[in-house]
Amino acid sequence: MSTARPCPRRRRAQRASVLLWAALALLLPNMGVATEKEAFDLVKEECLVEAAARRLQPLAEAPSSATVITGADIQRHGWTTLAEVLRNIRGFYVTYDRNYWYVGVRGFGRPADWNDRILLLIDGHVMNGNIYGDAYMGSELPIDMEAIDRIEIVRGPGSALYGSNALFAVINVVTKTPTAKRGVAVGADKASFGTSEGWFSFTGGGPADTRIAVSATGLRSAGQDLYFREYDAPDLGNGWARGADGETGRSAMFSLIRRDLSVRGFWSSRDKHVPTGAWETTFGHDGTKSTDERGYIELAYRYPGTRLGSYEVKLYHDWYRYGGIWFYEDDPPLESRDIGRSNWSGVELRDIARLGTHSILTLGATLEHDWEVHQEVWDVDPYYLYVRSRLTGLTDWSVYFQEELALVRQWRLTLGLRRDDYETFGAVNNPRVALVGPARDGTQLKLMYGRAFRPPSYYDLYYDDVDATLSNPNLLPETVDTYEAAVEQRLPLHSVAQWSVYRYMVHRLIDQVPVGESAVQSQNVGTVRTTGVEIGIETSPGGGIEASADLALQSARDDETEDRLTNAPEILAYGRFFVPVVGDRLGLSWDTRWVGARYTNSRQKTSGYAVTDIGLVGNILDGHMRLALRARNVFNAAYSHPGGNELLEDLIPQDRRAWSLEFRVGNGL
Amino acid sequence: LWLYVLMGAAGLAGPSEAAGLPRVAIVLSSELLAYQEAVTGFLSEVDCEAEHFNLEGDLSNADRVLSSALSREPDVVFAVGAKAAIACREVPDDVPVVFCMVQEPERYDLPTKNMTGVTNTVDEIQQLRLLLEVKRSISKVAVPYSPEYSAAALQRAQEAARALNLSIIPVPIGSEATAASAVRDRMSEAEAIWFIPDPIVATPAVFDLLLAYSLDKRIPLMTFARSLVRSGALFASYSAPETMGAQAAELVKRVMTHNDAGGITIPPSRQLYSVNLRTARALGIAIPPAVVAQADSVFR
Repeated sequence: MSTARPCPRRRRAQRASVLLWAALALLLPNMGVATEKEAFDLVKEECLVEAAARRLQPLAEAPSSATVITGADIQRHGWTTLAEVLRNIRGFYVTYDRNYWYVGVRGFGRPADWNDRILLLIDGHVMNGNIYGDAYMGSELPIDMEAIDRIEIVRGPGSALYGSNALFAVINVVTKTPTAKRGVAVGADKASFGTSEGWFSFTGGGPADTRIAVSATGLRSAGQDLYFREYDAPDLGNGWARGADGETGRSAMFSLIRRDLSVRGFWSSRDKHVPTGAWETTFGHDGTKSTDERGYIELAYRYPGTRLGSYEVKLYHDWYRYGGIWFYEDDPPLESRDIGRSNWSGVELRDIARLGTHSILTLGATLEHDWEVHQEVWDVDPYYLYVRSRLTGLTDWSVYFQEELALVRQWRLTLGLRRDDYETFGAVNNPRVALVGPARDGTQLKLMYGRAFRPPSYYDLYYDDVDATLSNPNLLPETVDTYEAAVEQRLPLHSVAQWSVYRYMVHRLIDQVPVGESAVQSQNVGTVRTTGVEIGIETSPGGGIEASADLALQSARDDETEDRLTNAPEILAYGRFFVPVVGDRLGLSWDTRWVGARYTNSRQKTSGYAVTDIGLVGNILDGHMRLALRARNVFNAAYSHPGGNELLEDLIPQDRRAWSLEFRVGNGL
Repeated sequence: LWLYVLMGAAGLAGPSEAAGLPRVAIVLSSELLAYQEAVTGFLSEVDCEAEHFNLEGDLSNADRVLSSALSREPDVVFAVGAKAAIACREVPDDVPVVFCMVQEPERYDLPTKNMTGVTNTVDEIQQLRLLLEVKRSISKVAVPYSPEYSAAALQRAQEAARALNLSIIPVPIGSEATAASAVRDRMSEAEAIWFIPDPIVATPAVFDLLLAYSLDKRIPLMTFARSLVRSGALFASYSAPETMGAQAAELVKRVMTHNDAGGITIPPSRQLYSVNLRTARALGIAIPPAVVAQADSVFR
């Protein structure tokens, strides 16, 4: 790579070399005169850079099995939530219980686990809440997808760098960087089931090299009338929950950047009616609903560095609010309230140092303080208090390092270790080792081991209503050891094939276990094993066509009994493509996913199902206006997802065919 | 490479004379001839002890190449081409970076505070003035471009056209496959075509398409490279890589003398143009002798 050679050291000598070169150019007509091909190659250089610059570390070299979804992918396929993105990604599947969206990865998706085994980040900021460890994936996070630059989806354990909750995947939503050029865009969407959504975004520059981006979104949906056979009785509307599935949501975010300093903020809130009679509430009562709010503000300074490296300092404050209104059968109906409220602040320091030519060392430390963690449950009238748990002043800290060593023949060894210390249960160490390098031309091989953990949540530890849910202060963190080998092979026609084999061992799995006649309690229940193979191919043969096909075969079993886990499909298959129909003005998108059979809580086996979404996307007015017509579940497949422990229903029916028409306009598209 | 060997041989002057000369790490995006010419121009203007590094067209080599370059503790890094410039964003603040041969530095958040450079751009007004000198009656100029890459370039073209009382007909092209329909649908009123260096549009197939259209409709085709004029375009306006390299050398001197790493970019100091008289005859255009006389290259 380096061509170390003596340099012309005197201008006379340099001029002589130039003259010599010029003379040769005259003698040899093909030298010194750029050819037509050279002219085009020179322009093409910038094109390749644009794609590569989105991720300065190439995916092929990342010490994980990773997928990047770009903003352009999101626009073309019309994905409106993170869950809609993830259900089309190799190894991922989703479950919807008509209140929250749950994401399973590689065959592991405990019913109603609130996604506490996946770490969700927005611009590197942790979004998992600190009461339940939950991450919002569906409409409970009504983010403007237009504001997203890319979504980095990293499979496998990430605790060696990120700490808690990064057991099965780390998902980083990277928003668009504010630009100095002013841009404004507005949009609206009208869809089936009385759904409408609106967006606004602005970006622009200000004085003193300041750039700002702001976006906001609002969502309203009437929902559907739903039938549940478990409630099919004359006094329960013959199983129909009518007008009890609606939701409203809203969010706002901003980025303010001035040179090395940035301030970012995010806020979202969603109200959802619960039609399923969850937690033994009155079935179909239109007053039963949950509210979820999440927000943060973060100040970051990134010092670009000295010869030794760069460092970054982040200060942040986060808040989380949950509220539930639950109506129970009585005369008059008994109203019960449920709240969770927390505020926390933290600081993170990270330094990336180059030590010599073959070593990059990352050092980091975090300190996080929970100002308040409050859980309370009560009946309104007559007033009766079931739970009041209020914790203050809890502090957790961590230190971590990662060393990337360049070995021979472009192989790289990554070693990492992070120690997290919690006031509630003590310390936990999570190591990581990865060896990545070229096996031969166009083939990249990755061998990886990592450990990750999920701390018992404050809900698991301290929520106790004596009757239905019991606390367990003696819970220990759940851990996972992961072994994976992955290969990436470049193929002709701009295609890439990937495959991987993996084995996860989940120790001290935290799961809700029936206790006594009607109560449940979170317990460390044992060891679970997940093994699988994934194969995928992506191609961009030209003409704007993009296509991919993926297959995941997986098995998630109890390591002692060998029983298959609930909500664990053994086959997942995906296919998607985008084809320009009329130049770049009109394109067709197609997504099909096959999800294999899953066991429910009552050990029923659901049917496998295939669902296809299609869309027509039109760009007019030189790209300043976009119209999109989409059909989700276009073939009107009837299918259901397994329900959680809090539901009487074993199966939750999912949406049939739904249409949407989206319109956006502005110079900021 | 051959050139380098010759240049290296010509530049051998004895190790003892290296003392006190600034150390320059030259990072190339790839082996493209234009980049090598920029290096030639650079080295003709600055006394230095240089070492050469090459990303070989792949940004994924950046970590390795930069580690190697920085381990030599250079006083300045000279980045040639967009990939090299992007890679050099990661160079620590205390090492100044001078780049050249980058078309749209702002697209890559360049320059940063320790970077300065020479853009690979040609003044739009100058290009349109040249077009008017070639054919005064022109009022509408079609610009095939991709919205993805060249929205800003189109905007600059429109501003320049407005200043000269011309109007631009934007011809958005999403891919090579859709170029023919875009040309057919949107260029009927065009009196000239401006073929800009857009990564999507600047392909041999689109060039052939536009050249055929130009000859068929007998309207001028203005391009960005001398080689395309030789292939049949009426004329091109461009900057010489050697000139940009030499300008970068001046920036290096300024950085070394004033310790002023800048955070600025400057355009090329000299614009060149080529004309094809055979094409002019085919189009029925009489190019003024003064224009021919000042051309860098004339294809007859």
